[in-house]
Amino acid sequence: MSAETPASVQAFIDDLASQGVEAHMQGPAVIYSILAVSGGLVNQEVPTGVSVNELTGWPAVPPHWIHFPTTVTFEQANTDTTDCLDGWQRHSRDIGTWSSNRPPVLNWLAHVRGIVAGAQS
Amino acid sequence: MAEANVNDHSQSGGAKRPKIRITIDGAAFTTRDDDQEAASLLRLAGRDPKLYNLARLVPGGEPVVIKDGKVIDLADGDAFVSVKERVLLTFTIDGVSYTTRDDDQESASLLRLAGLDPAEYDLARIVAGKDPKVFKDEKVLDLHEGDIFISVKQNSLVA
Repeated sequence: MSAETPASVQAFIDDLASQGVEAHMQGPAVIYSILAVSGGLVNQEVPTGVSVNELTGWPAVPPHWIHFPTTVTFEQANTDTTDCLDGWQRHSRDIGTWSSNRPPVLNWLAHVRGIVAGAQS
Repeated sequence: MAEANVNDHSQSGGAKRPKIRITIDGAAFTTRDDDQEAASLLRLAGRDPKLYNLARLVPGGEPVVIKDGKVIDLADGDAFVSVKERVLLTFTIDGVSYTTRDDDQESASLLRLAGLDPAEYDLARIVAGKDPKVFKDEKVLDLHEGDIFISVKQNSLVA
C-alpha cells in the first residue's frame, strides 16, 4: 500500500484484484474495467470507477455513484461530474440492500455488471 | 431384432448348458454362460464400462444398477439396459468452484447454489472467443467441465 492510498481504498483495490480485476487510484477516483455481458457494449471491457471519497466505508458500505467515460451512455441517467476525471461523469444508481451473504466485492461486481449491461452502443 | 451369440464356450465336459436369451438396451443376445460380470455384458452391448453402468429391468419396479465387477446369474429372458454414468463436473460462479454430476440444471438453480436470489440476479456464461450469454431463470443449461459463470444484478435503477 502506498502512503497516499487510504486503507479502505486499498482494500477495495485488493478485493477487485482477488477477482482478477486490476484497479488503480487515479486522482479522486479508483478506475478499473468490467466485461459487458449483454447490451450495446457486449463483450467489451468497459472502463468504470468510483469516487475515492465514497470508499471510506468499504466493504461495509458500498459506493453509490458509478463513474463512466461520457462515451458510455444509458437510456436513463442521473449524472454529474463530481470527483470525475476529465471526460468522465458519474451515474447515480441504487444498489438496493447491501448484502454480506458472500464476499462484498462479488456483489459489487454483479451490481456494476448489471448497470453496464444497460449501456447503449 | 438382431441376435448375437456370445460366450458359447461352455461345452467342456458333459452336456451342453442350455442357451440363455437376454436383452441389453432392447438388443437380443444368447449365451450358454450363465454367470457373467456386468462389465462383460456392457462390452457385449458395445458400451464402455467406464462410461456406463448395467441395470437389470425389474417388472413393475425401477431398474437395478449393478456394479461392473458383480457376477450376474443370468436367466433366460433377463432384460438389461445401459445407464450412462454421470461424471463429476467442476464449474465456477463468480470464481467460486462447485462440483456436480447433474449436467443439466436451470439457471435459477445455479444462482441458488451460489446463494443468490434469482429474482435479483441473472447468470451469465463466459466462453473464450464468444460473446457472453445471459440466461433466463428457467433456462436449462448443459454444464461442461470448466464452465465459467458470473452473476449479474438486475434492476440497479437510476436514483
